[in-house]
Amino acid sequence: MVVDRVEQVLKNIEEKNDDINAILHLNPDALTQAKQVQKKIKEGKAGKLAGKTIVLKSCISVADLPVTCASKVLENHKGTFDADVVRRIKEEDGVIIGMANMDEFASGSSGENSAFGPTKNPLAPDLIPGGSSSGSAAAVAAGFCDIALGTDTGGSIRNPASHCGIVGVKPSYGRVSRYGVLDLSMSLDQVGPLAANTQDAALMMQVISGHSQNDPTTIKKPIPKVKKAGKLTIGVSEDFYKLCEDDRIVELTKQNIQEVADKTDSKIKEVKMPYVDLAIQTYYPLVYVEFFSATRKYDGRRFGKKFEEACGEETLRRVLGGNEISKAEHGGMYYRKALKAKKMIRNAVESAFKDVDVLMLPTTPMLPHKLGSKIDAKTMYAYDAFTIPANLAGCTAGVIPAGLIQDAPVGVQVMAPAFSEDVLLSVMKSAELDLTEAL
Amino acid sequence: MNQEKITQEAKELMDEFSEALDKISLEEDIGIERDDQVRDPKLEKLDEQFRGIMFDNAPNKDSDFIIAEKKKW
Repeated sequence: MVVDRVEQVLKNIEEKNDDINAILHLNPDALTQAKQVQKKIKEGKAGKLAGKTIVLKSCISVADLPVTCASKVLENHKGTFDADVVRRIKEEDGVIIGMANMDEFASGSSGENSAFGPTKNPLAPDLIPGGSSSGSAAAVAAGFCDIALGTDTGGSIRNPASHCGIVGVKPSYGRVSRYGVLDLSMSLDQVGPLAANTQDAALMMQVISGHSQNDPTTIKKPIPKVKKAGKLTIGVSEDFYKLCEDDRIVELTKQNIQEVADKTDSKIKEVKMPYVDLAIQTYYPLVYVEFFSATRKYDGRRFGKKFEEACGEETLRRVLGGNEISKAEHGGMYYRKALKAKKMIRNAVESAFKDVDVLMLPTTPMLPHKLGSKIDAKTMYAYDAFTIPANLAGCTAGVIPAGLIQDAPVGVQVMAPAFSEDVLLSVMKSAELDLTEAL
Repeated sequence: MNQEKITQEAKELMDEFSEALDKISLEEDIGIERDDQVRDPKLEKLDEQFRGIMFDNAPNKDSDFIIAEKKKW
């Protein structure tokens, strides 16, 4: 059965990936590994992910597979070791199918910034799939795998999950080890699952969560499980709605929240969310500076090419901008100021969670644009306005499909306090609507 | 790509963002509280595969060395 499943997804990839461009590299050993897992199932020794096919974002290191970050900088680069999340997937018998396309070095919100071509949205081929985990989301939506891993620094799992009509989870900061993940912004990055349903996302969360001594920011906390959502207080905020550029997104979100409240016998409470209008302005100086720092190892000596000579425009903007604003002459005017604002946003989010169990809000303030449209950097950054607060606060958040607006899939976002993934996943399970059936 | 122009545009964007943050009164304390950081070097294992792949990735190498000529980068 595992072999059949792997053959099926490989057939799907063969038939559709030339068009969708979600997968950059296949694992040549996938079928062999499937046979080994099949044998373990027969012997009753198989792990939690036995039978599941997995695709990984190309910034997650896998020994001996290409880890390119969808960049010419690392075009022929192979992972030298398994990231902690990969080691855990292998230990639990998940079969890795291949490496997914992405916005170069996770720098983008549309899936158009890959050096190896843009990814198409399987559910809405004229529109962007979202990013930066574009290939991971498209791979799930197209049936190229059961579960994909992405990374989320400011919404890079939730944004494409919303646009591709699937489920995505950003874990709390410190829940999942980042060891072996090529970083965009080390103080914000988290690895998380994208899947067709909450059950699979929760299963992957159980596998990849937990302390690792390779990543000192990971914390020892119980591993989250999905349980039936009980009576909750669901927080909503006009402070998010008034930033939304499309009233239809607000209406669909409100409708979805009401349905969840009805299903779980929960109440809805309005909360104040001060400073969320400054999320983008807080986030990008942090990312520019930390990304500049992270890319100094790409000097073309030990591996790959020199960064500034081989990268694309958006990654170059971040590196050159990060170099500029971290100069001593600016004396804390950018990064330090942004750190202070980050703390205030975190305090505001934590304060809201004193009154409510979860917050529900839109995922993006606008619908996905047409693939290939000319979008300036500031407009592109605006996609992250509602997802960034969870990263700045270090809390957990997820996206579930809410419906379609003009044939574009739209997801609703759930935010829960840090290390409350059990609450998050139970609410997501209650709200679930499977749009992949539309394929 | 014109690096000077991109730098200028990025700086202008960051200036705009930084000015927006001036609208609020920022707290001074930016400390990060983490009290559960544990790392035990005794548990670290040598990765036998690492060396081979790392040499495969190197653009310029001799049998036992990665060559990085001075002033070449």
